[in-house]
Amino acid sequence: MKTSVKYQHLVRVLLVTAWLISSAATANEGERPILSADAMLSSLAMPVAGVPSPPREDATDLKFHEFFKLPVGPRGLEATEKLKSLAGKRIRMVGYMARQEIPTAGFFVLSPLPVSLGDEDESLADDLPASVVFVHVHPPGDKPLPFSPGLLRVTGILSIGAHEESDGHVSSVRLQLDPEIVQALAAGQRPM
Amino acid sequence: MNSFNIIQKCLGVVGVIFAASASIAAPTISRLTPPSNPPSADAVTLARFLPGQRFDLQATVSPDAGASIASFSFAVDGVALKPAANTVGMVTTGLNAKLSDGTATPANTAVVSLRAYSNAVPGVHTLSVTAVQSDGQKVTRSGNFEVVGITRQGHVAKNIILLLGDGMGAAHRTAARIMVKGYAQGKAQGRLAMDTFPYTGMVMTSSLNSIVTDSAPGMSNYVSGNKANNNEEGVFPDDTVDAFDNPRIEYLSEYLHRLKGKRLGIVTTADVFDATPAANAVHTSNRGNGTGIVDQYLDDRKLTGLTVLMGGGRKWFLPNSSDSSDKTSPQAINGSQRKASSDYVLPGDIVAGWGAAPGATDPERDLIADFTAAGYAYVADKAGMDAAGNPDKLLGLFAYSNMNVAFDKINKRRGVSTIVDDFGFPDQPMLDEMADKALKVLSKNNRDGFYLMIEGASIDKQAHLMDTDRWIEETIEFDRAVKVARDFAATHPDTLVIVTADHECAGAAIIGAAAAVMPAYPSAATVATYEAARFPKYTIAADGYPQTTDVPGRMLIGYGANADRYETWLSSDQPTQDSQQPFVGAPPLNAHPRNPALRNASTGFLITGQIPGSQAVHTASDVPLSAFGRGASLFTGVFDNTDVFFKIGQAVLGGIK
Ligand SMILES: [Zn+2]
Repeated sequence: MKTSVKYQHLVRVLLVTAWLISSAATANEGERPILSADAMLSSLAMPVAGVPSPPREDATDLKFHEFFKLPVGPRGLEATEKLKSLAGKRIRMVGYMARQEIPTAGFFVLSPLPVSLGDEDESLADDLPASVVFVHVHPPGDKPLPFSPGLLRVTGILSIGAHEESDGHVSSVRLQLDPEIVQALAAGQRPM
Repeated sequence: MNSFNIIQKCLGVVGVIFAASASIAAPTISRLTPPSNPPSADAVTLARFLPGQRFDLQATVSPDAGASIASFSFAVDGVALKPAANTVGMVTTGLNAKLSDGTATPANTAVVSLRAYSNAVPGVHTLSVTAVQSDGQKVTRSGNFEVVGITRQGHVAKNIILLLGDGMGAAHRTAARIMVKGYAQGKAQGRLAMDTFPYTGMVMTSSLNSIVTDSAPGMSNYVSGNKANNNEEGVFPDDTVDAFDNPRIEYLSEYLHRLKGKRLGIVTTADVFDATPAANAVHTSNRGNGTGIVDQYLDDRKLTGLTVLMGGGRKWFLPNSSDSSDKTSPQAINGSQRKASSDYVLPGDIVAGWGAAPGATDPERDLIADFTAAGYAYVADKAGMDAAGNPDKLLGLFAYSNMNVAFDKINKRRGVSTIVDDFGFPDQPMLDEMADKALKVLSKNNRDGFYLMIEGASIDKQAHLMDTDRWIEETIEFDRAVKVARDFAATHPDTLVIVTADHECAGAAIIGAAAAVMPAYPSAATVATYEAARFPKYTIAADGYPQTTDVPGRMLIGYGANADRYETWLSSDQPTQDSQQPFVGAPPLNAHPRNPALRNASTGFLITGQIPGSQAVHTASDVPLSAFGRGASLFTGVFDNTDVFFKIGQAVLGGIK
């Protein structure tokens, strides 16, 4: 097989310059222009351009770093009690929509940092952090939701356990997106 | 011109005759493997093998429109080969859209193979393939390969230890020496362990398809004797999509296990699926296929003699029981990255020819349990490794992906950093500790000897990130493993120890030193050049690493293969992010710089890069090689990376006077 893939980068992280200028610069005068998804959730007063989503009173906030126990066990990652207890319940998360080279209708990946999913050749799983959420849209519709750069705040019903996605990824944590968030994203708005 | 070239020129004429008849239509052969030089080129033979070393023969044959390939045969030196049962194959589906010459693949094109051929007669041999089309038209194409003879001349090497500093060029070695030994009045005040080796050579590192190699052929070329394409390991390129069906070349580990019963050990600070470790045992044209790669380690242990496997990469060994109906699976969320699309199933001719395991698409496989059932002790951290005693076989998986680097591991041991805790793996061994354990396991009740590859993986990974302090300490850690190997060879004189690199990374260069007092705003003017650089002095702690790298007048490094970076001329408290790590996006890891163009963006000055992308790249510069022990004297001069394989062959099979 002839592969044209260049593995010169360990980390294929997208620099979403636009949000760096628009949000981080105003939000963070610290050492590094890095905006943490989890920090965002903790301080929702932080000014970030976006369309306010209707508050869901019954949603519990969940952060990416609350997914797994530390240190990592000899048999791999273990879900925290909090993650397990929220299965089947409505949660709220803040993260980045992963940019997909070939977007798939029916789901997108919510990641704690801006990442780019390459094409099939590039062994996607290898470059995704374990703590990502596969966000499902029901019904899937016939076209993928448009890519939305910058932090998103989404709500929906949490499910956990291994599941093979339609693109071959195996997800551990999923979110059934609330309809109003689907509508906002489909309309090109950024729920925040 | 020798007689061989005359034969080649004659064959060239024959080829012209066939080409002329092509206008009346005839099948064509676009590829013959092993690759040869064009018949008219007055150049050296490409493919070389040790006596009896196995390799696959393969050709890509395209018939005329409306026809198909009816039969084929391979011949060596004009004598048709009689393949063993089930060791030939013809594939007409799953081919790449384009042939190797860039033209569209014609309908009914066939990739024909004869697996696991070997030849024990030294010298250059002519290889030819003849294919017959459905209407009876024939086509033949010829090439050549060489069997490199062994001179029986004395004591042989029983054990081989190959220490590979990934990306370690001359500057990486020098920088480690300056930091850990110090210089005064122009002279080094001590030597690295690798400096004490009596024989030194320079290695040309190019791959089959580029002057600049990546780590897959970089390693594979050393231990197969042949050039591989970038991203490919233990195979020649082919025209099919399947990444596990390529023509194979028998690895050093497989050859020595089959002939001499030698055991294989692989120790790395990378994820064990990474190119350098995998290119000692696993055959694939896509170094990214993690699931199939780790499965093949275990499945083909009887071919390789795999006895020790240590490094990171636990995520590939955990069961992933996917559930395609949308029910919640009983499977725990263990972080498994196993998946069907990176797994392997071999075609029948490879299985029959090589005696390889057929493989299976099984992301749900519990590979740790399978290793344990096959007699491997499994250890998950340093305490477990120490407590394991001296088992017959050992699997150590110390991180989810790549292990943390020496800079952060040692600062954890000193109690001044929690970086490794934040990654979820607070108790990772150092490379020298892993090397010591591997040597104990491999040499236990072992009359036949072993081949052990020890990789300092993050010399390369941190050089890509242009994190100067981290790759220098990584080189220091690597050199401590070199000392462990040298000490073993000192008490086991039938051991050959080789220290080298697969390629240089980042175009690193020692450009001078910092001014004694760092200015508030660093810049290019901060670099003290020539005599102003003087001799940087570091204090080395009892653990063997510098107390701090941020000393007044510290050594400064420039990069000739650089991407954009902000430079402060100081160490970074935090490593740059590796998105393969599970917690990289969550606090506190998400506060780590995402790449060199963001690291220190508010405190450093921008050095613009000369290459695209966000990391420094490999270079084609030659790399040093140092050798110690039985057979070391073979490793002098300037030679090709594939030559190393034949030098090892001479040391192990023919011996040294
Ligand atoms: Zn590299």
